[in-house]
Amino acid sequence: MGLNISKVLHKLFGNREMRILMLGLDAAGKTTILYKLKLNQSVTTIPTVGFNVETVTYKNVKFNVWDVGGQDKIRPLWRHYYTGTQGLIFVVDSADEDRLEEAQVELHRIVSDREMKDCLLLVFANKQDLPNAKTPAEVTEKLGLHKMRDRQWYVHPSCATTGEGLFEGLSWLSQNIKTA
Amino acid sequence: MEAHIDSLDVVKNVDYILVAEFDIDEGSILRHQYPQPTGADENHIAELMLPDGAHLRENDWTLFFFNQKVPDEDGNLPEDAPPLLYALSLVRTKHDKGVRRGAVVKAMAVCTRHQFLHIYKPILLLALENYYRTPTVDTLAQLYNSVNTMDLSGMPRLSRSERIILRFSDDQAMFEEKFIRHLNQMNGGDSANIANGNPGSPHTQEGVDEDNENGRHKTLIDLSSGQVRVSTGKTKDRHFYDTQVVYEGVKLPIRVPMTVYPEEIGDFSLIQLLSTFGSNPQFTISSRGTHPHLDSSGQYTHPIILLMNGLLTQKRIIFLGHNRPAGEVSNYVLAAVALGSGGGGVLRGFANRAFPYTNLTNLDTLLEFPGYIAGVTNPAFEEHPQWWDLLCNINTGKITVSPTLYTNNSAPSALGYRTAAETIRKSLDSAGLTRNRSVSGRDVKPDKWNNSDADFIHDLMGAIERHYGEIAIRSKVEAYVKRFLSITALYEHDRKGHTDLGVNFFTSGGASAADFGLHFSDYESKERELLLNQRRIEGFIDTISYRNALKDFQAQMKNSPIQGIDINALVSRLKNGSNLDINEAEAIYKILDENVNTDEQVTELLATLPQSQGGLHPLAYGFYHPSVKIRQYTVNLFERIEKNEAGARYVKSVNFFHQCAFSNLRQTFATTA
Repeated sequence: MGLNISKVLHKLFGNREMRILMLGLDAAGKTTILYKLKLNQSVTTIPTVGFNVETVTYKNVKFNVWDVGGQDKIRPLWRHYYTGTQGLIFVVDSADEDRLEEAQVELHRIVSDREMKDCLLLVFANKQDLPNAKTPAEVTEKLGLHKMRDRQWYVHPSCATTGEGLFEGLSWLSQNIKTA
Repeated sequence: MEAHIDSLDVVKNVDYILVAEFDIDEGSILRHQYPQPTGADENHIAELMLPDGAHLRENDWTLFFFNQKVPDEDGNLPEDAPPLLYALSLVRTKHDKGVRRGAVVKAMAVCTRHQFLHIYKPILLLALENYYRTPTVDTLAQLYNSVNTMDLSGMPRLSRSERIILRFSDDQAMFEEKFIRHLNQMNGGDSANIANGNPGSPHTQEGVDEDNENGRHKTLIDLSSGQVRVSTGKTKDRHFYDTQVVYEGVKLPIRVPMTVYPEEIGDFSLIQLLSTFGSNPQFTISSRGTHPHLDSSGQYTHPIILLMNGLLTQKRIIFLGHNRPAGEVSNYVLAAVALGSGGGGVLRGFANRAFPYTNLTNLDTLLEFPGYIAGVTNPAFEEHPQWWDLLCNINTGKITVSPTLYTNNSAPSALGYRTAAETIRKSLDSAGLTRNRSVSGRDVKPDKWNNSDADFIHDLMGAIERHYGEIAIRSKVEAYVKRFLSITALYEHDRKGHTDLGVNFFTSGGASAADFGLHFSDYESKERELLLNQRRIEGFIDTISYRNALKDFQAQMKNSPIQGIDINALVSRLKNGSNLDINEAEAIYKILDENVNTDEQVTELLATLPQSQGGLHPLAYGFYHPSVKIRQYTVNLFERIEKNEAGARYVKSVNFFHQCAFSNLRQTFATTA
């Protein structure tokens, strides 16, 4: 009974918040995803100097999404954004086969950080509209996700410019968020 | 960051020109440095020139400094380090469908020793546009040569006292003579030639360009006397020196301010800082308990006093402006430097630890500096309270005290102030029971301990509401910090038996409040004032600015024209001496009469009597004193003041009654003598 009331209240007020960190190599499509989610329209993005942060509300969950620039030199700064992160969205350019290895190394470096040990991992296998895009299964394989035993992860195909797959990804995050 | 400055070189206007750009594959890169590398870390420079969020706006400005010195373990700074170098950078984002990923982001910076670096803004706008067209090092060289041919030789060197006199004078022609004399010296050779060329006509007047190339103001040389007269219809405003930069054939007029204080950098607005964090009637401070250094009036401490206390006690302060231009954030930091240093002119050492714009790439450097003052646009800083002590959020106008400041408990608490209950509450707070403190303007009662602080805030915010100018507002802050320094001297003397921040001249025994220029109506009010200040004074002692203040005071005692006397304290005593007894008044006037004789000494005295605060008015009361001795001293002083160029203007601007009194008394004494 008490549980039901709290569930009802939750639905009524829907004040759940979730801190999301979105990382990935440069030009993977992070900023395009962010503004597609935020504005529901495709914006032409230019390289991010520093970071973008926006709040996206979806299914009563307020997602605080941090999108941090992906160039090689500024990746060491990513760690400053880890504190309090509940979900990591790792964006991969599925059509750029040459850099999947580099993406794998970076992803494993991020999740091995102590501050990230409890956070959910959502991988967007992005740019599925491109002809030579790898399938989610291939991306899963290349990123070595099967080796991650103690973590909830999920790979979802996406196309940031059309928005395909993005909200499915958020749904997975909101369903799996640990309610405190 | 350490930049090499060749000391053998003549001081240049600009030491380096830098260009950075955001490479879409590699990130921020420093592309060019001219004439040679600064020696500082290139990645860091590039990151500071290309601020977070540069891709979101067309233009932005950032500021950062070179040669900032990290204090050693004992808090001392290296003595013979190169001077601070100020960098002003313009960043521009150009959308271009023709390039990969749709945009080009480039930035160009000038690095200069000039505190008034904002004068370079117009030329940077032109030069960066040129660099977009011609992205080569030649564009940097062209800018470098242009700015370094800007002629500042006609700018007379003003002493500290002269700068203060000019700063607080509305008289546009103040020091007119000095400017002209300086020009005469520079044009000395020329006028001789002209004289030789026209031997038969001594009254011929030749036009000579005052500023060499700047023909707007003609200077006439009267050959018979060798005097130069400026023949412009109206006098120039001598608060500025007018010159120009010629860039690609375009003449850009430049106004160099003549009256900057050592810690005034750029064209910031202190009013904006005070309005953002102090004038909102519904201001909120979130804090956990009170801190002995910061909350000098307990939980009713006004946010501006909180910020001031943070600056005086060397706390680490962040200004966060999420989604705001880096240029705007920088303004707040520069204004905070001016706030803590007393309008820029009382305390020193804030600029050395100021980072007007910085970001995560510079975090490690930032954390090496105790009491840094930094501007950021990244809200990630808000989530790391272990990095700062005070966080001032520009968007909300809210100042947050870091909870780690209480848990570290580095502040001395053995002052008998904290009650047991307070201590318990604090430990509860640090255990995670956050107590957010909301104070609305109406709730702020002037605390019984805190009359002088409440008065200061009332006066300051009232002046802003009545649209007082920057200089007037800064002078109020200056007076406040000066007074704080005097109270520190009195506190040290009273509680520790000794101070190096003041001297005593009245009493042969121990010094009293009067020796430090302070006045209290009774013993209780003095004790109240000391109690109010005690905890933040303890936090101030041993900070870098405190040590600098000691050095400066001792140097002033040794080197200033008026030797061995704290002239500031003496004059403050006259200014607020409503109930000076006859002996004290006589002593003050006697000291002044004996010690203010030369032209330089008069100038120093005038600097303590700014015209905007009544000028000679406090001194002129001596004309009406029952003591004939005091009247005589006052006439002597006025006679000497009148002989000084600036002093003559002071005497002329004093009110009519005083002028009559002066001439009457002068005659009386002349006939009786």
